Amino acid sequence: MNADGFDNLEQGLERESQWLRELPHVDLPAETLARTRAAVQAEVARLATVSSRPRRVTRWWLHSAAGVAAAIGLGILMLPDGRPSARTVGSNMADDVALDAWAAALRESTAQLVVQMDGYDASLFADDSDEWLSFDDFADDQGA
Amino acid sequence: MALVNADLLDRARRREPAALDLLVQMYSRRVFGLLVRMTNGRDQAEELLQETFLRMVRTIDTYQHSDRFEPWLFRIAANLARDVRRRRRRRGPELSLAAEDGTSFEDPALLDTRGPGPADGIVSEERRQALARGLQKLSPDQREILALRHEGDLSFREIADLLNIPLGTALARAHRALQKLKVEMMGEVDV
Repeated sequence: MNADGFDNLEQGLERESQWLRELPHVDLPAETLARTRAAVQAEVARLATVSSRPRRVTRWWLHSAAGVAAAIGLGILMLPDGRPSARTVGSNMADDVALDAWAAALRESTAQLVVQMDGYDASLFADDSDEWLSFDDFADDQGA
Repeated sequence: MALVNADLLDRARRREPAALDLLVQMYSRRVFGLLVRMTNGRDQAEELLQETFLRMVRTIDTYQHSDRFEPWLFRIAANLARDVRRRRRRRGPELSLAAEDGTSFEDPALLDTRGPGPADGIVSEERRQALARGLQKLSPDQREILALRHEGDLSFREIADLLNIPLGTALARAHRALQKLKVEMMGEVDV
């Protein structure tokens, strides 16, 4: 049904319900009204007390939290090595960690590979030194 | 009927005691009437009347001037009454005061009585009681929509919006409710 149809229905029902509007209404006892008015005024007074007290505390906490957040943000931005942003720092650090891990894994796998070769002296890689022997050095050591 | 003006609403939103008291005085009768029709009697209606206005005070700062004030207020009242109805249904029929057909065990005439005063006519009192009995014969949804119309004095469009139902549904429900109420009241009073 289109809007006009609804409008006609609504007007028709308004006319149809006219007799309803002319019937008596529910009576409101005076004491009921008085109790309601008193309850409302008590609530108004209560809300006025509640709203005045914590506002200062709320503001104090908000200001402190804002200050701390600003300090953290500023600290991240002002890094000593000139890196421009926390995001860059984060990604560079992640790269370094990944590289270190890859290098360690490579050393480990290389050491394991060499140990398996015939005539290899495993003591060459027995320590934790980061010093790598080139294959030429290795061959010289083995008298090849 | 006097409508609330923007100045009064501004003062009420600032929670000025006098402005809020004026709103209570202006709307209590209509809200109470709505709640009596929608609930199980005057005691419960009085309790919900207070709760309606307490919620009004707490949330009036969120009221948008673009909406009419009456539907906003009556929505609070109607939702409270519906909550009571839902809780009553959950408690089960043995604890509920409502019969299976939605009528109340409480004498409907007691829902809407007052002592005859000098301005009251016998005919008016008879119509009042006949209306109360007739409304009790309706389903809760039908009673709700007619109560919003009669006691709340809202348009059907506002009622549809308040109940969050399509306008067509509100009109159809109201039409059926009116027909049924007329039949119930016929023979008792001139309708």
